[in-house]
Amino acid sequence: MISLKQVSKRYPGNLEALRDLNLDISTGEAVLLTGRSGAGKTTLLKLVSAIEMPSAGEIMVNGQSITRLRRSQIPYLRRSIGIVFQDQKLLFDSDVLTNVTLPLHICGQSRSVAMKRARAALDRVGLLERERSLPVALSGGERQRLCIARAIVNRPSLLLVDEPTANLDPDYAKAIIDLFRSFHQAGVTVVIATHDIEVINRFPLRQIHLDQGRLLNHTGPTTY
Amino acid sequence: MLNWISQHWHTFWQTLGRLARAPISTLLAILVMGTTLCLPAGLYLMLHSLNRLQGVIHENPQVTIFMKILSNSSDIQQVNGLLNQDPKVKDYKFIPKNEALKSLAQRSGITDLLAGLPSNPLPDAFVVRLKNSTPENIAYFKNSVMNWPSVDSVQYDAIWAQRLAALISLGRNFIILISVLLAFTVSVIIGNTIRLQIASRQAEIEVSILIGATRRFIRRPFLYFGALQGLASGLIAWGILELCLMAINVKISAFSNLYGSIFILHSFSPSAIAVLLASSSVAGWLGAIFGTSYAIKNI
Repeated sequence: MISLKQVSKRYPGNLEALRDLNLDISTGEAVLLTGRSGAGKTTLLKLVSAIEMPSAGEIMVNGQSITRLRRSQIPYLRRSIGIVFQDQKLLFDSDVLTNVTLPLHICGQSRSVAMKRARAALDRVGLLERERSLPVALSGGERQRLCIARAIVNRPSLLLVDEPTANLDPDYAKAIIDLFRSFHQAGVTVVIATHDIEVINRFPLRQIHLDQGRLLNHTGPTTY
Repeated sequence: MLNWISQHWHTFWQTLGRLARAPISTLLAILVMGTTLCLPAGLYLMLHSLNRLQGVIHENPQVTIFMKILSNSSDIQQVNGLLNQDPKVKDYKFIPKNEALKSLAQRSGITDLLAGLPSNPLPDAFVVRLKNSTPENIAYFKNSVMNWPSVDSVQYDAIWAQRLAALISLGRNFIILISVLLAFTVSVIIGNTIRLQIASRQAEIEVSILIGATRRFIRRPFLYFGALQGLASGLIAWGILELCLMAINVKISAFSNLYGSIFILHSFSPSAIAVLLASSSVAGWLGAIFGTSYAIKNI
């Protein structure tokens, strides 16, 4: 599903975010990407979703080489990936339902299909009764669930999640992690970047530990 | 295909909704652009009316043949015969010099002065209408008639008609130039409005790009926005000009009646309305392309 070979990412100012990274994540696998802030977790997720391009090396996602993708093909790759951003990136002047239907409209789904699938996704994360609310009216946990609903509404085969439990109460965090567990059980490949010790300890997933842009080790089982 | 239509339909209504949610700014923008479009559209109407007038002149051209003062009845008979046989002549009328003097006296109101003249100074004349009244034909006819021995002069009031034609031709070029410039102005206004809209919706656009939107998808609602604003501006321009015509034609008609003619500014034909609305929509659409291609590239 995901394969990185000798991947490095350097930002302007010679800031090295990732260095000679080699990594394979199989289809249907769930992994935790761990490391302290600034370890390169978010950069790695951005590279896999083609939000950033590597400075060196090759990245394959779903059999496609990201480094060889034409600029016009990148949107189509992103449509096959569900992304939960660390800073959420919600549309704050649009209601919950509009936020969730956006990926479906982008994919060219008709309005009726988009509504149906968006409601199903909201139901899955327990937000159906809040479909007409604006994101500002939601709690932190609800907003995170909204982000998840938007990420899964297109039924992606790969889910990239960046710090899903940041600033959440333990109960909310548990509910969120349970959601990802259920997606993984349904066959979705899930990559969760986190530095939350609670999450790491609670779920015995394979861990990919990053430190200052280098891969330190793989630990833990590869599946639940 | 159905999905594609559905997407466009959805975008169209979404764009209309955005326009309706900001009625004051939408109305002001449309009024500014509509008023701008009034200038070339109004000039077009004026030119179109002059064109019709030119057409009327060309439909009824008259050539006046003046006989020599000392011509006698046999000279008149000879010219009459020549005109009768000429295949280029549609019809003609003989105006004897006495009748011409009477008519002049009636029209000018200087009866006493004319009565005091020792003899009639006016010549006999023929007023001729030709079958084919192109300037070349008229010139050819005039040259041939001038060779007839009893003919003194031939007059065709072509100069002002030629001036009118030249004026219309000049006006046409002027209108094309003005139209292009003002359409460009409309495009720039719409492009700038869209650039500002994109700036205010930057977060939404960024999110859309991150989750797989193509540049075409991002651009689509703005293109609809530009085209709809352009279309609305064209409608406003049409409405304003029709109101102006209603007001001004009463005065023009009264004025032209004083000169014994009926001249009014004609309103838009259906094809002219279609051209006005299509070109204003295209100007808006081009402005949107300009605005989006610059602004989206920087996101």
